[in-house]
Amino acid sequence: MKVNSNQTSMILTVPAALLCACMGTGGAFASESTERLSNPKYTFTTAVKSEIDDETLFSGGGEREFQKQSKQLQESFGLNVTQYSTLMQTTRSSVYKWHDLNTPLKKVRSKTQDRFNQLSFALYLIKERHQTLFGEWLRNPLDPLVQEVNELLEGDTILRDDFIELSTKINISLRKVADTKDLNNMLGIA
Amino acid sequence: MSFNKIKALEIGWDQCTAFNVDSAPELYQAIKAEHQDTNGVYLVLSHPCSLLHPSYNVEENLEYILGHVVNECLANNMYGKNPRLFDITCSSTNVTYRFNQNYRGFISRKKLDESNVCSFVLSETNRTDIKRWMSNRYIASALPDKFDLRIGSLRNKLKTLYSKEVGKLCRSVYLLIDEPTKDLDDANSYNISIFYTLSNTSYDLMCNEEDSDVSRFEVFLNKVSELFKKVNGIELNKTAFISESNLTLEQLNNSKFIKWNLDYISLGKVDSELAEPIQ
Repeated sequence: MKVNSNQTSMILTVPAALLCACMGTGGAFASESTERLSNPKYTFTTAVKSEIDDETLFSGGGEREFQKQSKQLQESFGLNVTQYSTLMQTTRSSVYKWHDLNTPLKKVRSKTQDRFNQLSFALYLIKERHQTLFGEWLRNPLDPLVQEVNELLEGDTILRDDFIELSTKINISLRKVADTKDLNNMLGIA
Repeated sequence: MSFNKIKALEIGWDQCTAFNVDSAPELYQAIKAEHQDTNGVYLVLSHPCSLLHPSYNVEENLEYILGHVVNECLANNMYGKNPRLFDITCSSTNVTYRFNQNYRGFISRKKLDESNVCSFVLSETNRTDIKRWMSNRYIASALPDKFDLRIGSLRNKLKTLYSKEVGKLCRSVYLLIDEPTKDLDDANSYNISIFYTLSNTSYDLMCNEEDSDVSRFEVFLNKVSELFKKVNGIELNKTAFISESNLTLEQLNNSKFIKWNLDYISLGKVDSELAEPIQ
């Protein structure tokens, strides 16, 4: 994988093996890397050099792994099938097929792998404790921030710099959602 | 003679506009002597429907509240946290005023359409704060006397804490209490949680500090928890900051979620005057 540090809006790519390792460890990558990537001084290039080995790129052949990771991504962020299919730029039926772990996929297209990598890397900028609220939060059409995030995530490519900039706002907004839920629980409001 | 509503609107009269001795000398003269202050401003409290009503027979008077000039805003008097005092700095003049519920009164509004408003201009948020402050005077919940007795001297310590840096950012204090009306016997404790509301800007600041090594907001909450550990009969389960913008009507209407005005004076302050406990 080539990474040009001079690019201001770099397309996100992340090795699936790395994601796999993170997911498999209860999201350890998510919390650690999220913190570091939230730090403006911590650039993607740094991350690439220190953590991502070119040889560990998601290179196909790991269809079963893709199915598991994709399912986990959808569930971890509380996305429904419609949302997830929109963000992955595919159909609902494709998502159902991907996530049917009893029926192995024959092949995962490289375009799908790339999209998955872009989406994963963006979403893991969201703090782990708020991740499950993301899907619900994303379904509020009246919130201008939600509109902005949807627009970004539904684009042909997910631009890293734009999402990093937004991630602070998203995390604050998700924290507010969590506050509201906590208070509702305490007050017995359904 | 009828009220000239169009002229009054042109002048700028509305709820939460103000006048003073210079802008409206005739209105000023109608104010009773003990409320007259040549340095003060008189904020109009009357609802626009009353203030601008065409008939003097239907709506004879306007209600005002006097604001005295003070050096600075005290944190506990800001945003309507104190039910009796409201400190505010006028952005247009940079002068700080203290409004006191004791200085409210009524005067005839017959000269209103011939008098001018003064340069005391409030933002929409400040207007809302003042209107909420006024309505809370009548609808604020009272806490059980036993609860107030147990809080005792902690009240002043909390007020001191609330008057400092982070406390100054808190726009209101809400109390979630399991027994909001009953006077519990000594064997039972009140279980409470305290929520401090912040503006969006302050909430963002808190979130950003949370990611740094030292968070002033966290220190503040820890101090509150420490203070409550010394109180018998009150268990503090949770303290947290919440964004004012995310409070829902359903939450605010919940009887267990009480806006906590710290200078609330309970009968329980003097034992001999205790009313019959509410069971």
